[in-house]
Formats: sequence, C-alpha cells, structure tokens
Amino acid sequence: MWSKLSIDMEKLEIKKEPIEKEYKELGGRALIAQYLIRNVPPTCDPLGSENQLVICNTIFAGTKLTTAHRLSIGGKSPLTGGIKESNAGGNAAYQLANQGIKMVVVKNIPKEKGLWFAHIDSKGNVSLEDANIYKGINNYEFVEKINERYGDKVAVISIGIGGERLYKSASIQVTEFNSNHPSRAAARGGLGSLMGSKCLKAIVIENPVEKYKVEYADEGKFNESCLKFNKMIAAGAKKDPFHNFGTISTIEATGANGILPVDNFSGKLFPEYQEVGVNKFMTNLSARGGRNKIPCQPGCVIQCSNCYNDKDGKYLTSGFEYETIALFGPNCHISDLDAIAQMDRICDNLGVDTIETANAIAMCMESGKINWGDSEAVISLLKEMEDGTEFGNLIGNGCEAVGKHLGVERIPVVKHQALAGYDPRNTKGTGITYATSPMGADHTAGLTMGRAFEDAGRTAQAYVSNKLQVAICFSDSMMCLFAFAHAANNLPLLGELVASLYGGEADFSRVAAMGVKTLLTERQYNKMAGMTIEDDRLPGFFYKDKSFATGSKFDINDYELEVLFDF
Amino acid sequence: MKGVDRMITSYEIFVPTIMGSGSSLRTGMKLRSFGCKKPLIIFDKGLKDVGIADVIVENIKSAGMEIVIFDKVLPDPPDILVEEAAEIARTENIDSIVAVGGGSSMDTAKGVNVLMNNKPPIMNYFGVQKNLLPGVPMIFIPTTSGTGSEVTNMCVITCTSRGNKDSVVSPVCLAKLAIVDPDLTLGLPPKLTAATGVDALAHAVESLTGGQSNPLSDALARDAIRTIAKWLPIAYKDGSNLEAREHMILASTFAGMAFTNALVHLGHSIGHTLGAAFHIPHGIACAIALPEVIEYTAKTESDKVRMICECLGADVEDNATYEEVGSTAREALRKLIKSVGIPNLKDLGISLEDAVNVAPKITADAGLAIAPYRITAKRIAEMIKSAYDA
Repeated sequence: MWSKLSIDMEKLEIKKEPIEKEYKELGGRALIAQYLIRNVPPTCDPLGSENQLVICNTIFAGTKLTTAHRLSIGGKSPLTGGIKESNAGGNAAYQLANQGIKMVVVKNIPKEKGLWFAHIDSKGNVSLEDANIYKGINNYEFVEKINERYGDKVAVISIGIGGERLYKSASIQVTEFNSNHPSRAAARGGLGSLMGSKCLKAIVIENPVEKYKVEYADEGKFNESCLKFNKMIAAGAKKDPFHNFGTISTIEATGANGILPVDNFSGKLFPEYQEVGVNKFMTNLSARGGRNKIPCQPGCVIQCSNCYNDKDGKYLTSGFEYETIALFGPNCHISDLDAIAQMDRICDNLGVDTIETANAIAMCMESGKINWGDSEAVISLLKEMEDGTEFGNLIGNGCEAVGKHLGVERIPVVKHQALAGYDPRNTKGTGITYATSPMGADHTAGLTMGRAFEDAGRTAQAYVSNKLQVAICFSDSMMCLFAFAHAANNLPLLGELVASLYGGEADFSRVAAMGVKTLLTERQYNKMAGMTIEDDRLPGFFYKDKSFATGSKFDINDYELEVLFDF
Repeated sequence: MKGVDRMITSYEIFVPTIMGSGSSLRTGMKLRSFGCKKPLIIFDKGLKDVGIADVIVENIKSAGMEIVIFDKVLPDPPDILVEEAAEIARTENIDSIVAVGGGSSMDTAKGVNVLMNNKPPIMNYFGVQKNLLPGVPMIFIPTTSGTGSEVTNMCVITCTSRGNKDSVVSPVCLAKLAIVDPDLTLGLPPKLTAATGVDALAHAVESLTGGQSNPLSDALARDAIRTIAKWLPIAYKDGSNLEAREHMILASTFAGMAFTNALVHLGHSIGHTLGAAFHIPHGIACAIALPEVIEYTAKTESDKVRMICECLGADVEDNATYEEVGSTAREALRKLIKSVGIPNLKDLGISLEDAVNVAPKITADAGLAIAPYRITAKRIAEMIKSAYDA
C-alpha cells in the first residue's frame, strides 16, 4: 500500500503512514485539490502555520506508463491567494514512487528559527536533518553538496534563496534525471516561499534497496494496455517538434502571428524573433556540445528537455523552455539567446519562476527604469535579487508588485500571477484560460492555440478552453501534458488503464469526471478564499488596446466567462 | 466586455450563382464553357420519377457530353454509398460533377469530390480540412428551398460505423457554379416545402445569433427571414405559385450564404441529435426547439434577436429587457413554424421522457462550440420540455 509522509515542522517530526482510503485512487492535481479543500482553510495566511505544502505522485505512479512520474506540488498560493497545483518533471516523483510514497505533506512552522531538510534513505527510513549549513546556498550548489554527501543517485526537491526569502515568485526546483541539474521547476504561484515558510530547504530521496511494488487490479491487462499506450505516445512523439527540437519550437508559430508577447504585451511583432528561434538554438547546441531530446524523467518518450552550453562549451542551463525565451526575450525586446539562457540559469539557481520574474523585468522596462533590450541591465537586476537589495526583493515578489511600485499601467496579471508567453488577444481561448483558470494566468491550464477556428477570432474559443481545462485537470493527475497530447486519439484506453490498476469499470467517463470534479473543487476553494467573478477577468488593456500585429482586442463577452464552468 | 467594437471578420463568398426561372437549362452550356467532357450526374430516384432529372440529363447530353449517372442517392447520405459513388467516378474517369436535388444529392457529390484524389474512407476527412487534394469542377442544382448546400463548403455524411453524422469542411466541397432555378421546386409537396423552408429559417436565425456572424451574413440572414416569413406560408398553401417559389429558393440560397460565413449552432445540434435518435427529417428536427434556442441567445445577443423579431413583424418595445425580447422572438418563430404545419415532438409520437433524455447527447455535439455561450444539458432539457407540445 502507498505511504503518505507527514512532516510536522512544529514538532520537527516525520511520520510515514498508509495513505488514507479517500486519496487512494487519486494523484497529482486531483489529489491536491481534494486534500487542500479538506485540510487547508481557504482563508488562511499562505505563509502561516495553517497552510500545508503537498507534494505528490500521479495516479499511475510506479507503473511503466510513460511520463507517469510527473511531480505535483500544491498548497494555498502565496502569489494568487488561491489554490495552486504546479507540476514538474525530473526524477523525484520516480524516486518517491520507488520508495512507495504517494504523497508528502508539510504542516505547521517551526517554533524557533532554523532550516531543515527531509531525508529518505535507501532503506526507506525518514528523518529531518539540520540544514543550517545550507542556508543561503542556491539550488545548483546545494545539489552538488547533497551529491557529495549522499552520492549522485539521489533525487532532490529544493528551494534556493528565493524560497528562503519568501519571494512570492519562488519556485521549487527538482533534479533532472541523469544530469542531476536542478533545472525542473514547479515554478508558478510562489510555492517555493510556502516551502520556505516551513523552513524546509529540501527533500532528499535516495534510491531504495527494495523497489515498491504497485498493487494492480489486473496487472496483465494493465501491462497490455500500457504497452499499447506507450507505443501510441512514442509514435506521436516522432513528429512532435517538442521531441525533435524542444518547446522553443513554439516560437516559430507564435512569432509570426502576434501570439508571441513583445515589449510587455504591446501586441507588436518582433522582426528578429528567429534570433531566438529553433535554427539558432539547434546551431548553438551542435556547435557547443549541447543536446536536445533529453528525457527529464525515466521512461519519457517525448524527451523535450535539453542541455544548453555557453560560447565556451561550458554548461549554462537545461530545461530551457519557450516561455522563458519568449518573456525574457521578445517581451523584454531581447534577441540574445545566450543572455536569455544565462537568465534562465540564474532563476533556476535562485529558485524563482522565470515567467513571473521576466514579466517583473518587463515592468522595469515599461517604466523606463532600464532600457528595452538591455540584457546587461536585466542580469544586474537579477543580481539584485540574489543580493537581496530592496529592489531585488521587490522583483522577487513578482510582476504585479513591481508594476504597481513603478506606476506601470499595463500590468499583465490575472489573480496576481503574470501571463505566460502568449498574447491573449491573438489566442483568445488561451486568454479565456488565463482569465478563468483557478490557477491564475497559466498557459498550462489550457493553451488553445491552433485549436479553434482562428486564434485571433472569438468563435469556439470558450468551448475549446473549457474542453482543454477539463482535460488538463485529468492529464495533470496522470502524466506529463506533452505525452497526453498524443493520447487524444484513444482516450478510452485511459479508462482501461484506470480500471486495470484500481478495478471497476473501464470507462473513460471516470477519468473525465475526475477532471470536472477537480476543476470545480479548485473553483470552490478560490470562492471560499474570497475570489469573485471579478477575479476571472483579464487586465483592462487587453480589452482596450488593439494588438498591433493583428488589430485584435480581447473581445470575449463577460457572460461567456461566467458560465464557462457550468456542467 | 468593456466597450468592445465589432470584431475583425472575413467575408466568405464562395460560389458564383446564376438564378432564375429556367436557369437549369443552362447546365450543359456552362459545363462546356468549363471545358468539361464527362460529368458524373448525381441525383435520387425520386427526381427521375418527377421528370426533373431527365430534362437536365438531356440538356447536358445535348451540349455534347458523355455522361455517367449515379442515381442511388439516399437521405442523410451514408459514407459507404458516397464511397461507392466515388469508386464509380474514379473508374469512369469523370472530369466534372453535376448534383441535382436536395441536400443529400449535393452532400453525396461533395463527398465524391473529396475522394476523387484523396484515399477513402471519407471518415478520415471529417472536420476542417485545409490540405485536401482538389477534385473536379462541380455544378449544384438545388430542387428544394432549404439546405443552401449549393453555396457552402460543408458536406454532411452519416458515419455508418459510428452511427452519427459528421461533416467535411473543405474548399474541395465547393461548387464551381450554383444554378438556382425555382421551376424545379414547383412540384414539391406541402410537407416537404414546409420542412425545407424551416431548415432555411433555422440557418438564417442561427447565423444571425452565432459567434461568427458578420455584417454580410447578418444582411443575408435578415433578408432571408423576412422573405421566409412572408412567402413560406404562401408556397406551403399553393405550391404552384412561382413567385412564392422564387422568393423561397432565393431565401434558401441567401441563408446558405449567411451560414457559410456565420455557421449554425445549438438549433442544429438539437436537430442533428433528435434527428438521429428518432429518425425525424432534418428540417423538422431543426425547427422543433428553434424558438427556444433563439430565446436563449437573447441573453448575450439581444440586438440580433430584436432584428429577428423585426423581420418576423413582431413588435418589441425600445426598453424591452432581454427576456422580453427573447420571449417575443420565441412566440413569433413558433407561430410561423406552426403555420406551415410543422409537428412538435408530441405530434411525432415521441414521449417527453425519451425526448428529454437526449439532452446530454446534444451537449456532446460539436455545434455547441459556436453557440453564443455555454449551455448545460439541464437547460437544454428545459428547452425540449418547453418545445415538446408547443
């Protein structure tokens, strides 16, 4: 039976116990929603003792299903004030599953100042260790030190100084499979500061001597369906630009049609977008000994990750993604891919969300504090974050905090969280997702690009956003979204997988219902936290200012947003 | 929505059309002017029986064409039949297609054209297709005033393996020319006149209230509604009234042009689903809850629903609420539909329980994507209930 690890930071004790029956068939985002609504008061202070940090596996953890080891992290968000589930790749979910651990909850806060990390050893023993010697040490160096101490077979979930300083943009970083680089991030919503508020620096998971065995209702049937499923995903991946290049390939589409944000979501086109596009990226990889097609977790067939080296062939960053490139790049009028890679590295190292931070930097440019396109000035501002200067700390609190402080009118946030790399006027369904997702402005909650009639048109956008938001709720409870994207042609197979694992009817509607229930639970949580329909709107300038690339405004009727989740 | 102007739109004007009493006699001449030598002529047996098919076939022959005939068209054309016709077309090496008849003949022709240079089965091409290989030139000659299919790029096919209807949307489904000849509709019996006429009405009112309407489709739809309101009852009562037939076929083509731009939504989703569940003819199925559908759209499309009231000659006060606008439109539409003897669900012998149980299936229809705002199965069930014996 799966275990649950409860870490009580007030008592400084860890308990390992069988997971409660009510969570047995849940995982990922679905598990987090159900756990939080039962256990964390929606009106609590996100950085106070009542909030809890939940880290969990998906419903297919421990199986051979490709990308089943996606790690979900949740809690009440210090950034949005609402419910938050942020998921990441890396090897931690796999290692937790091998240890037989389905979920970890971190409760309360220590009575006295200090810093600790949780250690799960190869025999499955769990302990809280003093982490004061690691205080102020950022993710890359921290992982090196942990590897020196426990060997390189450990998986690490950690925070950098972003989390320690309770920055609302703080991420939780996870080590990548094989390389051990802490470059996979549960980035959004400031969950790093929630972990920081618990004074928990890290969770270190050793490879167990004895691997946990999953209990199947019908193992033979599961393996049969699983093989079919994995083959389908692998076949889809072959033609997937995310596999062949990486998520950077998105820029080839968004750069040409006004979806790529430019100069703080001005709606302009960026003529030099290909300077930060696929050709440049692939040329740099091959010239400098970098790589793409890297799996971030064991058994992944999508392999969208990469390793990006600097001009001298020295490792700079990995998991170098489209959103980081779009928002530190064209949205800050920067076309220097190496400079952007350096910014990505700094953010991963400090443990802050690149989307939130890059948008905060765009606020500095919009207000004239630094010039558009000045990558050196950006690096200096990131250095201020690292140094903890007054302004550096402000950047750490994200786009809205900086924008308000500098008197910027056009602040691209929903539920206090900054928009990802897609202009909502030119992919209106994504705009609907930004507006209505319980997560705040989050592209991973339902990116509709290319799915409605016309990205910049209104028709069918709400419909597509609704369908995707539901689908992603169950995808985020099962696997990586990029693998799920190739499962659309045989959704009933997911019903078969659930039934052969947990028993009961092989019915896809079980899976779909989990998506709807999760979404409605999250919406209810936010409502109880005090959010209203007014929180389900985009910033006014998207309704008012035309995108210069297409002439389009965000012209979705408020009522369409209000009834989006009527089921 | 904060002070939004009309969205950017594109006007889709696809099919050149010649229209007028006797125009179908230009078919042969037109084919020749396109450089065609061997058309496949598609129609159903009924058209042969009433003598329409023979006249057109002769007209084409007299233009010096070698002809191939496919006269096995069925209502709600099944995919296997379309594939059979396509096989004939390819084997005979035809260089053009002429479809004569209602929506089924034209849908069959469209399906055949899709399969001229794209491998069967047709179900592989359901959905919006941008990269199909082109087929051959097609001429469409409608013999009912309803579908508007002669001017659209959509081909509705019954998928026999899945037991539902789906459509191919592609430039390959477009005719090179539509020939709209009211003479061909003179012999339509009253029931068919009514059922096809309310189909055209549904196209028009749904186009006006759909998410993709534009000024062009609005103008076409408004004119179609006015024309249908005035002339459908006359054509229904006196099928030999050529003036009424002229107006009705014009309205049908205009409504087809309107929904090519604006698309149809919930009314057709209800129509397709009820039609499949209870084997109700398309036009009647689409008309059943149409008044309730338009009432529902008034919440966000109040101005458009006012236009509908105005076109139907129903008075609405300047300061009327959207609820009042909606209920006025519902009553006016129902009055028109009833006036041409369209049966309700009760008349059709369907139980209320069975009818209401279809609601969840309707929410799965792709047409809901274009509805003005999201609607639940519960609300659709209420609409069906309201329409049941109205």
